[in-house]
Amino acid sequence: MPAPPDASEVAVAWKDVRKVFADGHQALGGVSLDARKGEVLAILGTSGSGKTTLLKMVNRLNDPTSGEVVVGGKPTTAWDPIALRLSMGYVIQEAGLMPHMTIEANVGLVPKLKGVDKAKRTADAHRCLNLVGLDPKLVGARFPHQLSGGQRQRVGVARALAADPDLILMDEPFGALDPITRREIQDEFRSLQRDLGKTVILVTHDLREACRMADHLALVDHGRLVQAGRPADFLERPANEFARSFFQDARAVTAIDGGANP
Amino acid sequence: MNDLLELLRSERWSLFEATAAHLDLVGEAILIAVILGVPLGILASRSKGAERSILGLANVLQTIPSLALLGVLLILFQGQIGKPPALAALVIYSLLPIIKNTILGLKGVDRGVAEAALGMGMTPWQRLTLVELPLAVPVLLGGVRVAAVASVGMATIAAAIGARGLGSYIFRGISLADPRLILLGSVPAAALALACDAALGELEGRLDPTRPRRTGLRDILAVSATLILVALGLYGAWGELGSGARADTIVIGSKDSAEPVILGHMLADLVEAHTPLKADRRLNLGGSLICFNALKQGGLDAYVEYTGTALTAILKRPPDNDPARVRSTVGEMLAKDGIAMLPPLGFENTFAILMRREQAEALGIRKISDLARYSETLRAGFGPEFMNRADGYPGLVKAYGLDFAIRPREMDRNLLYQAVEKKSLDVAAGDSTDGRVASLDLVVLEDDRRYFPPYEAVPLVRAGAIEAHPRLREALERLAGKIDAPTMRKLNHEVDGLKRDPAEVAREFLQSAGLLGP
Repeated sequence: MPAPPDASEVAVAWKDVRKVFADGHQALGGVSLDARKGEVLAILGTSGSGKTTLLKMVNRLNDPTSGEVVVGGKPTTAWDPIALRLSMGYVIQEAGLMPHMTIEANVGLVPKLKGVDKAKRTADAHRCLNLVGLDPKLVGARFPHQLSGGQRQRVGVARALAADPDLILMDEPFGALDPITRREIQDEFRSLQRDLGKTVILVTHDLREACRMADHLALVDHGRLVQAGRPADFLERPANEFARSFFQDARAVTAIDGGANP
Repeated sequence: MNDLLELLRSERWSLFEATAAHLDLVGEAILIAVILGVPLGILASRSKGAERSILGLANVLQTIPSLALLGVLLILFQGQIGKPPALAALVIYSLLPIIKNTILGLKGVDRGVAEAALGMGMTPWQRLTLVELPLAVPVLLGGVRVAAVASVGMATIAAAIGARGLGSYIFRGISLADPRLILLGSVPAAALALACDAALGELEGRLDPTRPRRTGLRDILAVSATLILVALGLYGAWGELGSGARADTIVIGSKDSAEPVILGHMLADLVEAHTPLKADRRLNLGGSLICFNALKQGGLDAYVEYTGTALTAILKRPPDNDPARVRSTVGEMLAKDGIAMLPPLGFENTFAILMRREQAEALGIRKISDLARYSETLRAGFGPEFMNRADGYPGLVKAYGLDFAIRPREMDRNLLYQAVEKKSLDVAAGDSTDGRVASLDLVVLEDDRRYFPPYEAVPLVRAGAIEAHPRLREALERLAGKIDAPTMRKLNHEVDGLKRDPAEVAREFLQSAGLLGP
């Protein structure tokens, strides 16, 4: 097992986090996990495993029943939820763009909420659209429904980058895209992330996406952490039968697809 | 058809004003309903409990029958007739669709969008104003559209409480049995409803960002149509401002049939001829109780009532057959309510039981008591007031031992005459002075047991108005004893039978009787 990271390298730490919903369903049963600064952590799992619940604790869309999540050195429950959310980027499946706002307005939305003036907002929006490979002059004045799915997802990423946060949360961000577009965006995002040095927490059920984009993986099943580590660790030393079969199935699919693992 | 065009030509200006007033009433009601309904809808969308109570209340308000609601509002508005209570009624009816669609629109916001808004760090207020409301607008406007179209229809009924608008043509048309007037009111009302529907539908489309923009001719059409509607509405509002109750105006009312309307015009003409005051004619109000309550509470200054009606329907006293005694009882009791009863106009208008002449002769029916023999087979119909008044149907069947095997139909009393003539009814209660008795060849059955109490026509005037305007009483009293029953029947026939304008008929009579001179 790799050595535990230094506290100063940790961006987000889940500490023995449990979550029991009002209906009595236990979504998480004591999970401890770190996301390191400047790295991409992929939380992997089947649907219902609790991976999204882990993510939503970071921006307080969920609070833990017990245990705590530490962001920027203090527990999330000590943060004002609005300030906490404004400090990080958030990308979800199908992008969640505001259908009644132009692309430019969508990208400039978080800066607007933070009170940034219009000229700077526009400049930021243009810069971020360029970063994700979209021409602001071409798409800036359009509405989301006038863009392709891939373009919308790029806008979603641009929006998360616009306020220049250190941390970006991504919940199945590219799940709705066709395989070719998906790979393109994954690669572009990965190199963008390396250039900008952002910390990213990515929730996905897609092993290839996780391996392609993440420095560290965390496999979650039935509300428990099965294994955390670098992708190679999972191949060489799967923690149990579930981890082995999860990776084997995924490798079989990859072989048929002709895709490549890093 | 030529008739209709002729009427349209002579009425075009007042028809235009009525349309403007109508649109103004609907527009203001919708504006107020949106201002009240949207916040209520937002509140309801925040919690299940709030939704249940707000929707529950709006639902209950919606189910109140329109005339009942108008009646209640008239009392709440202290007898003020016209626009304020009408506006309140329209607002009440418009709330439900607006609240419902606000809730629907807010709930219909895409979950991904809602989650993104929350997750990116919007405050509840920002989520509402930047995301939820703008996205709910098309659905919300759908509710406004439903409310507006329904209000255009509802606003016609508001004429029953003296609100200006197209309804006054419809009411006049029904009370004068003149289909041309009904058309004159209902065709523009239908056109207004369609125009509101189209205008709001267009707006709905324009505010939906996921629909393609329209440009060119359609823009010009939409903008100019909307401008015309708005201008018309504003013109109506301006007209209404000019007509508000003023110190130098006497508000004359009347019930909704030819005779009261003619008499209402006479009172108004006398006021204008013999005092420096202006007369505001709010004729065709929906019944005795509306007129009386408005008079009592100051919304009306004068109208013509019948002593028998005042005794039984308004003062809730048992019927009485002695005219002099009825007159003095009513006069004394009304004085306590601050209402002065002026001397009788000279004729009695009592309930009359009517039949087609040829049928009555064939069956040998002359008197009401003759009806008992045929009450197995004859089809009767009465107005709602007659059906329910102590001195109406319940007392009649008792007094004459009638037993109608076929349950009498309850219908608008103004439609009864034609119903008998067209043989859909055999027996009906009408007014003894109604011009249609003669013109439709009906007979009045003799009240051989003197069941119907006397109904002398008397002007009722608000005592406050008499005190404020010393010459008012003298002006109105000029009509005392000047109209006998045959004269009244003739005047009624001019209007009911010959379809003449009641204002003209009234003026002609006053001139020929020399009542307008000094």
